[in-house]
Amino acid sequence: MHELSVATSVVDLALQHTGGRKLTAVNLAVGANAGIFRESLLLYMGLVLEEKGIKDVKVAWRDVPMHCRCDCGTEYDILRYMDTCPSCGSFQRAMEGGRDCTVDSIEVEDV
Amino acid sequence: MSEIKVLSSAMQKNNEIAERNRALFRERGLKVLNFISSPGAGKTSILERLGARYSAALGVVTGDIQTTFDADRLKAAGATALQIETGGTCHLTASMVEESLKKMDLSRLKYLVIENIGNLICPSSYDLGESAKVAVLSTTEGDEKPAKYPALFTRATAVLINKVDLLPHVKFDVGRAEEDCRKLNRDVRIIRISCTTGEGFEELFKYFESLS
Repeated sequence: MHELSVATSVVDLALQHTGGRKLTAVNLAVGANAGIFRESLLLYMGLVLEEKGIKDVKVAWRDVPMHCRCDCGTEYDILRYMDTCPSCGSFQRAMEGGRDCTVDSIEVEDV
Repeated sequence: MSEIKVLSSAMQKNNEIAERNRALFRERGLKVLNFISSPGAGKTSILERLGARYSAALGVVTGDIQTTFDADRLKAAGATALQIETGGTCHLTASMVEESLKKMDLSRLKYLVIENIGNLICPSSYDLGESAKVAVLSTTEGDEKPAKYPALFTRATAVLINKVDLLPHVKFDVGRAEEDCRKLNRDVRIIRISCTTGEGFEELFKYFESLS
């Protein structure tokens, strides 16, 4: 349910950058460990935009993986928590990243 | 159609306030823990025992949708407690904590626990400025919870496995739960406790006192 507050922040960020032009797309980068459920965020973004009277905004979603450094020396990325090291099959790793939800860019109509 | 670079985090506003909270805690020499669990895992019962141990040196900011039940219990246990009623919001934010701290006398406190809303999902995404997140998992919830709700367990510095006195009566494989916690965060500190018998609390106090 916290996706509603994330959606509000995303829409606010997007609208701060339009320079008064019509927003047509929001390009998101969402971490696999951000704790954000895709369908909820998209639903709430639609509602927040609708409330502001803004229609026809496309949302592009890019998954950002968690980066792992295994004790065996292998570095690899995962999107699912229980995926193991592709070289040695273990969980002996330091994991970082994939916790943020970023607005990469927006698209607006040309004047 | 023109593309405009933004490259800003949706969490930025919360993170900025969390850093302000962190700076305040550091200035006051306060050790701050963010307790997260599902409802009924025993967060408040654990805090009652911590209250009995540290009395006025323990401050608690406790979040619930409604009622002041938890703050009332913790004051009775000797702690300095303040209730946040979110009115429906499923997690605490850094700004809710910042606002509540204005109403709290921090001068006598050594430890501050932020007791988050009972919810294994949403609270884990929000930095409140704490020194560490602590997950509470109870034996009545099921041993598969770390694997099913992993985000919290990748962030928690410690996991308290509560209600271990019930292990003979429930189908909870404590080894499996601990193994999954370590798969998600190999450095996690796991402490088995029981609020009924007091088991594990000496270790929990040591963990508290070792925090920097």
